[in-house]
Amino acid sequence: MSQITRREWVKGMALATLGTVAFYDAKSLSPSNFNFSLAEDQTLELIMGAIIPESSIPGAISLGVPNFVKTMMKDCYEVKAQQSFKNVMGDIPKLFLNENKKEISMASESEKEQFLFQLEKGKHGVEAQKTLATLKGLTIQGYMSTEYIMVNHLNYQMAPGFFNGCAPIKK
Amino acid sequence: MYILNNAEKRTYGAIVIGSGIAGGWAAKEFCDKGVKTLVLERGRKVTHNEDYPTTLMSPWEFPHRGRLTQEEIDANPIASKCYQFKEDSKHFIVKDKEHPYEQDKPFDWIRGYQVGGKSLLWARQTQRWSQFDFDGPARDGYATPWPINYKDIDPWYSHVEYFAGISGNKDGLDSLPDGDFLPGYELTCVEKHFQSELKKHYKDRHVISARCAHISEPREIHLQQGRGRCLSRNLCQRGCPYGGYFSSNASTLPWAAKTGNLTLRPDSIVESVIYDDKKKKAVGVRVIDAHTNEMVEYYAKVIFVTAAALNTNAILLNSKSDRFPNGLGNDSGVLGKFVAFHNYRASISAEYDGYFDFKTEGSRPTSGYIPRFRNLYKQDTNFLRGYAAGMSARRANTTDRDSVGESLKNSLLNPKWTNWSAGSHMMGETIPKETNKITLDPVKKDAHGLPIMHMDVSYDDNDDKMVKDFIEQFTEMYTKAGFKNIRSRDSKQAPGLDIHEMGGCRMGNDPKTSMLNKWNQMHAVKNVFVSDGASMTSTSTQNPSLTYMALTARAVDYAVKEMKKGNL
Repeated sequence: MSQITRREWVKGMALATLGTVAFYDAKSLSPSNFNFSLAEDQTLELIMGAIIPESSIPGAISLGVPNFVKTMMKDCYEVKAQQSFKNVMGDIPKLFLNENKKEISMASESEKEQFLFQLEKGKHGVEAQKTLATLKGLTIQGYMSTEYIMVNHLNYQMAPGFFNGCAPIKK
Repeated sequence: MYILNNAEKRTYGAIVIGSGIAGGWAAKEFCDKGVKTLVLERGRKVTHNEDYPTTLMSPWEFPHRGRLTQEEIDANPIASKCYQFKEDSKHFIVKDKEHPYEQDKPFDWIRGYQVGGKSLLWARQTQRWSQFDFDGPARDGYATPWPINYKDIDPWYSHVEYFAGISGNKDGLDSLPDGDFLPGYELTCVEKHFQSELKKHYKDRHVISARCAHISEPREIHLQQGRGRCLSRNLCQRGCPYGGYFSSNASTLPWAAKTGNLTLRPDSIVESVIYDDKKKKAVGVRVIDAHTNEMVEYYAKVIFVTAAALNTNAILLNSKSDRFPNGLGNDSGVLGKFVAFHNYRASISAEYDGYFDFKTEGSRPTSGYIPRFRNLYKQDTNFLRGYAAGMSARRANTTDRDSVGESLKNSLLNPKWTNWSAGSHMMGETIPKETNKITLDPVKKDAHGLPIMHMDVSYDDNDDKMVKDFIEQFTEMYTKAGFKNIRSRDSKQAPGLDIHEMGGCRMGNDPKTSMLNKWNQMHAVKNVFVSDGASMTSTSTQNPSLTYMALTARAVDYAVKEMKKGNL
């Protein structure tokens, strides 16, 4: 196993002593060059908006979930998965246009949902299928862990302070 | 800045190497008894509450919701195997590059280099050993007999339980003695069901609520430490703002500091213990400053080496003198050998069809526990010793995620209850063997000029048999109790990942086969004590920290009495 240079060690220790801030700045964690183009960004939001749309309860877009998905893609996936993700985001407008003879940005919710079902079933290839599975998983994870949903809908308590091992379920 | 030229100013009554569970206890006991104590910690300073940067963060405040980045995983193939190495607590775990070692055989070494050590990260399970556990080596002849019995350590278990705050029920089992407990936590319906089914089908198998180092109801002694009731956040690995669980940081170290007798020196890597050939005893330690690599010596009448099991071995192996060319106190040649650990490979899961009208509410910091029942009173299987097991049953929420759009959203926000699911994992005793050892590389050095360690530790046939037996027995137990979808698994995880590495500097009555006597005192160097995991003669099945605490408090009590008699 390789030894670290003294310089790396000092750098590591300096980071360690800095504590708080250094650990949570996502940007500082990843030197990855992975980025979305404006068009890919728009496609991502269209798809995420269709996965969890807006209604009387806020959806994925108004709760800011796209930023979470992009952070995760950038920092937590291997280059191959990142590339697939970009490819599919790039391809979706064309695929949709071919399929529906209209721009995805002009499509209704049900048209977008139909298209997502087809992607999920693998009609547009394995890469698109896998990417959609990843995107849907991250969208759900991000949505369910927003402050709004956790506090208002999931009764999130950081410190419950009690335990009942056999509580009747109220019908 | 730290360097004082005056040797007198660098002289203490006691030096304690390491500030984890054992070191923290040594510090508290020495300071309570009026001994000026220097605690040396190789890692950075972590002060209770001040240095728990993530402790109050909500899930949505973590950019990756707890997950590690790909870069962090790639850079830490070892540390990232640890269940605690996640976005919220990775700053308390040693990164692979920070302290490299050689794996002669696969060994995942998980470490916490900071004030408090792994006491910030431990699983907080605190089961006592019984006399049967101490009897193991003498009964079957593998490894050397323990020089102490249960009755020697019983009052010291009580001593540390009272102060640390241990919750549990008086279960009246001879396999797992009761202690000085705060109220225990409740079992769930299905855990109770399993408990009563086992009672029906077996006479020797019990489900209890696992004793844990959490304050279910604070006593005056805990309030004096500034600690309060555990609120069941289950975010312990971040450091607890209430001091609800026991750690050196929340408990022993601030207590020791209050006496005015404690000097805590972080960023201090101990190179070796200094042995004086003329005085025929240890006189101090050599310390390397973690930032500057400058060397400085500290002196004391008595030295406690509690640097965590393998680092304790490394320090002693590196403490060479004319008298001890093979490591301090190593006349027998056993130092670094007979390393053992816990076998956590097997687990089992099952579902229960029933109790549909019940769920759990809130949270608890522990689970069920099944004390060892194999080879307890006599040898009755084809393998040596036995295993304990964790046991828990819970009911989770589930959502249908097949759809998209409004129906997906509806499903996500209206979760349904799953069946009750249950699971157990084994905690098996491994047999200490001469061939399971750690050594120091004769040539290769780390960034501080210290020899690179070699880990040569592996499973054996006994461990494989035990895994097989656990899976057979627990499959039978869950089947008899009416569970379905029973699935078992052997993770084949490497030794080390249990984070229960022990031995290498074992206790024993015979100086020819052991390093320490019944007081955790070196046979050959009377003013050096080892009372962390390195001192363990055998491993039994219990999570070991409570036993290190008790051994340490007992050893300090003895050392101080010996100091007063002028024997050290």
